[in-house]
Amino acid sequence: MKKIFVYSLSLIAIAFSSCKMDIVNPNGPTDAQVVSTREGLITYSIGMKQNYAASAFESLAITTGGTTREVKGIATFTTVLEIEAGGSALPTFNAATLGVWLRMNRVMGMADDIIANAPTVLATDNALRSGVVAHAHLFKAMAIGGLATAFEQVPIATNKAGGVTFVTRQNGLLKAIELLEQAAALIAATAPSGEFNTRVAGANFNLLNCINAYLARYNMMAGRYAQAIAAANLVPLSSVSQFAYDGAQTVNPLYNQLRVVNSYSPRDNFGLPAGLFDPADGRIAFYFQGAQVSSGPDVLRTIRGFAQTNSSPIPVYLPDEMRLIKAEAILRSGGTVADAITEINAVRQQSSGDAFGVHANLPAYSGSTTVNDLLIEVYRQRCAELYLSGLRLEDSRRFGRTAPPANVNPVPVSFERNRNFYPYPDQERLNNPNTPADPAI
Amino acid sequence: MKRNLKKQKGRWVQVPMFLLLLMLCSMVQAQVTISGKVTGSGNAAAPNVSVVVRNTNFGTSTDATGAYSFSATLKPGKYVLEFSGVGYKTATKNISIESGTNSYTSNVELEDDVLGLDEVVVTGTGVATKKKQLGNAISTVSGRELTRGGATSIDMGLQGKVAGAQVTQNSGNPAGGITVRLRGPSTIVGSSDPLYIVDGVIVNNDSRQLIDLGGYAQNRLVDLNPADIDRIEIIKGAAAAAIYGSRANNGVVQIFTKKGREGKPQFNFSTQLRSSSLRKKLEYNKVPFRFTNFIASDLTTVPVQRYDLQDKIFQNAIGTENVLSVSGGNVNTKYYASVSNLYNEGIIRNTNFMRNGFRLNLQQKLNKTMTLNFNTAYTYSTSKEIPNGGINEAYGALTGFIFGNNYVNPDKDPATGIYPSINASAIVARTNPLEAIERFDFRQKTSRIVSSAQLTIKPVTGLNIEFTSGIDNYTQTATAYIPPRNTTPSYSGGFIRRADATVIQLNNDLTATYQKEIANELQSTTSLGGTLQYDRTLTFSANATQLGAFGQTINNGTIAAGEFRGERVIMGAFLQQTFGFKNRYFVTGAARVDASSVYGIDNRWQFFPKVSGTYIVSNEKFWSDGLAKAVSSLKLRAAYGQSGNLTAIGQYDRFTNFSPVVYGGQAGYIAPSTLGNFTVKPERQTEVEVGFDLGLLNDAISVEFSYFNKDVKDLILNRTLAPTTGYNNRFVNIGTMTNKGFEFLVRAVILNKNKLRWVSSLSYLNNKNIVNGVEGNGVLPFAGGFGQVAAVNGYPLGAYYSTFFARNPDGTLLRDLNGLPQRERGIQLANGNYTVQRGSNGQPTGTLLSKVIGQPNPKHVISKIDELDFGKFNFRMQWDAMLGYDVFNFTKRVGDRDFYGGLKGYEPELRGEVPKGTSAALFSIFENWIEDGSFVKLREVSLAYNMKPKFLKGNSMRLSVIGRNLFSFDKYSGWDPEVNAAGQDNAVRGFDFVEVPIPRMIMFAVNVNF
Repeated sequence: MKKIFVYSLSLIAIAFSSCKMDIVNPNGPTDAQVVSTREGLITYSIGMKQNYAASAFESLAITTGGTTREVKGIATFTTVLEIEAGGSALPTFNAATLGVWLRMNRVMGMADDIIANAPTVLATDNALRSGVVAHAHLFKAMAIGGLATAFEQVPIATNKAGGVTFVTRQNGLLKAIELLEQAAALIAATAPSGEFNTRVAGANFNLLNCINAYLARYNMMAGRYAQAIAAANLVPLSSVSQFAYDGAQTVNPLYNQLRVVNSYSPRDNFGLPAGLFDPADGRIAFYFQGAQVSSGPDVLRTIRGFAQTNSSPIPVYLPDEMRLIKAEAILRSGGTVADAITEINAVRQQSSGDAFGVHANLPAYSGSTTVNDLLIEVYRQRCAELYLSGLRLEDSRRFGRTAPPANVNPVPVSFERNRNFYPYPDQERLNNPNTPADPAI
Repeated sequence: MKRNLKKQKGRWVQVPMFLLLLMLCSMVQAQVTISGKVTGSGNAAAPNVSVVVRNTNFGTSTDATGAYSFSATLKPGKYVLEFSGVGYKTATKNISIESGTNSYTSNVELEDDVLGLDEVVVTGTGVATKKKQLGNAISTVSGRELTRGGATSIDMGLQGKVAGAQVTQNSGNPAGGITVRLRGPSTIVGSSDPLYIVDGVIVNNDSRQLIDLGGYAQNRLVDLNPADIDRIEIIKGAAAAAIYGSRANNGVVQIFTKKGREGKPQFNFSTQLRSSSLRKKLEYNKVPFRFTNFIASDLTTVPVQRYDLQDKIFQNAIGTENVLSVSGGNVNTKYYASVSNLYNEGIIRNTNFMRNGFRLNLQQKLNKTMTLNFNTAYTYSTSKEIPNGGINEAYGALTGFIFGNNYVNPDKDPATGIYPSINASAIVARTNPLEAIERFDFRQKTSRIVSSAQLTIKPVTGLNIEFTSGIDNYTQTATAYIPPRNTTPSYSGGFIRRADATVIQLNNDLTATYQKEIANELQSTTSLGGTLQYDRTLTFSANATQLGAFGQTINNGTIAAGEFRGERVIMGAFLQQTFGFKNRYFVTGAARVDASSVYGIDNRWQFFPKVSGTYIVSNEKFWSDGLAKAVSSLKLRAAYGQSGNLTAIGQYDRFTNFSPVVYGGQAGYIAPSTLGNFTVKPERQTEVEVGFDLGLLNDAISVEFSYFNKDVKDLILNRTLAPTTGYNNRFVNIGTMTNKGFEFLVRAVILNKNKLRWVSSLSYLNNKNIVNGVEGNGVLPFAGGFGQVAAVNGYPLGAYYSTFFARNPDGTLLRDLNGLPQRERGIQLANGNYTVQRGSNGQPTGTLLSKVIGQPNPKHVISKIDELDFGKFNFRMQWDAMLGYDVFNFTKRVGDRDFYGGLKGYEPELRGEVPKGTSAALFSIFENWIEDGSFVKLREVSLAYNMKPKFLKGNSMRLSVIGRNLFSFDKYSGWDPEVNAAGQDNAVRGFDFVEVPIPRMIMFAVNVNF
């Protein structure tokens, strides 16, 4: 009897001692593994880029596209109805505006991790470090720029402990510009290694061209015209940089939203009122396909453009944006009007040779050549050329299109945008006392 | 910390060792044989009655004729023979062993224990203990109660039979989908399901949504055949469950399957034919015209023909069930074996569930002191599913039904065979329900084995050692196929999914119990136990889209696949000591330590204490005969205990786990949206329970009453983070939850004369659940409720938190300038509070407001069961009621809206009785869609006829007609107030979004013993 009892107890003892309580997660690494190793930082950079391409860009393009009438919210999900209605009725708990805020901040958080850890982890590998850090700078700048598109004030660094403070969007843009200038300097000093170019940048992604294109864009947004022109001039128009999608693990977000999820549908003629588009514009046939379907006062189409399949690539920037930045910067800085018209016509008359096949195929500009009218023409061209690339909301404000009323809900579709800026999401305000006051509209 | 506990463990071991030494002294003994016959009322043989010599290890059970005989080695003296059996009151007989006499006879007639007052239970105690002695309420359900009402699964059978339990069938699909809550929920991020133990095996009851069926999922308890169940014991909270420690926060349901009986093979065959149908149809829109557009000022209409799609979706379904079992054995070997087949069609056309089960329970006496029980059940279940609901996906049949326009003819084009989209507008396609039923192919298959080996050793008098090794292993495979070129809104290119889950759970438990009368009238019971549990889950899933026209496997499209592997180890040990004095006073104390690999090293080891006391007042001498006639028994009890939830979060949730992704052909890792937290610790529940058990009028009426207060602290919330942290959410121990309430069970023998017996019982549960500690604005929304369900400080779990009507001071609706109802605006404050604001024009201004507009937890859960035996007839009727809760009627919200308008609620707008645009305005005022869900249902009603036809040669046969869910008395406008589109979701309850209603069932059953 005693024996049995002793046996039993030893059985328990054996069982207990033989079992491990510290079980390693086989499904993926932890943060500690990723940020402390060379392989970790390389693969983190790839993941960050994928996350921007699949997630952050989706929110920027679709949500702000809904606000600017590029797409129409057709699902009856509350979130979609609220985006479509806009105005002061857009609640602070809207899931789509939270999406823009959350996803951009998430990319920024990843970039911050890489920027913070690369100097030590990659201390001895200069050529890899310059690429990885410059790449992280680019994405951090894109995250700040994306936030500045939709919000009045933005963070310029994430903090896992919370309590982040905010700067005006102008200062945010200046920070983004600073990051991009540093990135350009880094890779000018030490060319990124072949390993960086193959593994992180990958095919069809030229880091320097992307840095310069976004420098041009953010300088334009920040009102720094000379710097915008200078940066735009550095971008070769024939070069292609694009986000890749495999249609399975990383699905083209425009295709997914507009062809699969179907919560939003493209408005015909880039969602523009008569006068702001030319029915003969070749880009209508580039961006849209299928029948015109009436939906209340709107006419909807099926998306084409960069959303033809779930694996179609999406440009990081369109080369013709550089021409239009130059035209606009010339006009706004009191430059030679003829030079601006040259750039505008280069876009209008393009019928072949665009790196992404976006051809307006229109006659040369023949309208009024006052600066104001030419700026409207630049806006027109930007709306068509850069359709659904997350730029329309910023453009609509910068070109002084009529602001939506603060007291009419829903905002009538005759207004080209239904918000100026989004309110800060509840999730930020409830967890961060530094969150600024919401804009009225 | 760890070292400390080891030390403690060492000390624990010393206690029973000391007790063991106590009993090693032995005396001169003689070999005697004791035999006799046990009868029940009316001199009928009482089989399976246990006969033991009290305070010794000797004893046996009666055979089919009620006879027993066993030999014992006893020293001369006075002994007490104890006779106990299910359904009988325990009886004792004195026996005096004299030297020289070797053979003794003792016959006894047992009284019926109609109300089960003398039941013996083992759950929560470690050893068979009279329910009377326990300091906490424990519920028992017999296999007979479970199966007589036609339930197809164990948890369905529990409905209405357990005081303190709320058992909800979440779906009317043929495999159910059932939630059991014992005294309310106790976690937010984890599961509030009780711990299920079958013959010592901890069984898995996951509700995996391997394929998206709209929110509906089977819960894996459906794999167990209720016909194999002998009895179930249920404890409902920490006060009773402390010795189960880490996993007992939600209570414990211990299931015992049938054991073999001594005697020649006894066969039982039962066969059943069932018919299921839709209990109630939704009233649909019959107005023979529609508006030409949705512009409020344009009232032009066009004539249309309206269709009732319900007729084409629902069917009268057929089901069959056949169970054959055999049991028998001899003194040393006993067996029970069964084979069963259940086939159950659903009321949605083309749905069914089939379960094939095999069981073998073997009991072998190895020697004088050791017995081995070996129980094994294999189940293979398959189902054919049609997706409905639509929490995440919109391809379901009923989803299409409610979003569709009922003026579209749903029939397929006779020429092309193509089904039309059920949406009149071409902007978005809507799944044609008939296409979903005819062309979709969704299936699930589960192959499962549950097996346990239990070795019981009784080396010396009073010592009982039990070692249990259990395994539960299943593979669930789900496949989905939506052919390309279809009417779904999202998958026009077709969709294939295959997902597998392979789950294995192992548990090893060793319990030693020593019972001894350590002084005059002072009984001591000491239990020491250890457990080691391991589980592993492997899931694999792959989706394919962009399909070719043929083939249903994922290789027919573009594949995206995923996998998860998880492992978990839990270990624990307990020591429990009970003292019983003068059969009146009982005190139990217990301590348990536990560790789970889910938590970090600093929070891994947890200690859970328990203490309870019982005072059987009616055993006192002063309980005079006069008093005893009116109040035949009175027991007061109180219990306190703690338990934990070591499984609230996933295996690796304390880490910041990066997600792998291959991008541009290169492997990468993405930072997750959940920030890890090494300081997260298990939730801890403290329960206090006090109550009394009362027997009145010579035990003709019994009352069990318990008040409980369950307090969960360190409640884990998946709290949101400021997005500027770079993360979205994090598990943090910041919440609290309480369940306060009371339950009672009254049972009465109303009539017991000659051939007529009427037993009635009433059970009642009143529980108030409150969540607190949510940070920020005190509101934490849950996924799965479309953002309308949240934890709100001061409100119950699952409260509906959303927009509400703007009202005038007198309560009437404050309409907008177009005369339409509108949402309230103002300043939103914390915890669901707000301040209303009005502009200069009297209209609401400010932000849109939300408040708690309803809650899904019933205030009163009531069941009444009446059972009448009249000669050979048996009539049984069970009414279940849940009162005082709300249902979120999303079905009506959609069906009443202008865009869809398939329900009658849209008719007034079409007819011009309310302004055009009203339905669109109401659509976003969620308060409008909250309805009282209170119901009283005729859950079960059955009439059986027992007979002994000659051809059965003395054996019996039963014919019965059974009805299930025949009637419901409720004011709910939808199909059924009981279902939940979010399935077994812990937090999102009472959410009606085209979930399949629970069918009305009629069954014919034949049961033969031979």
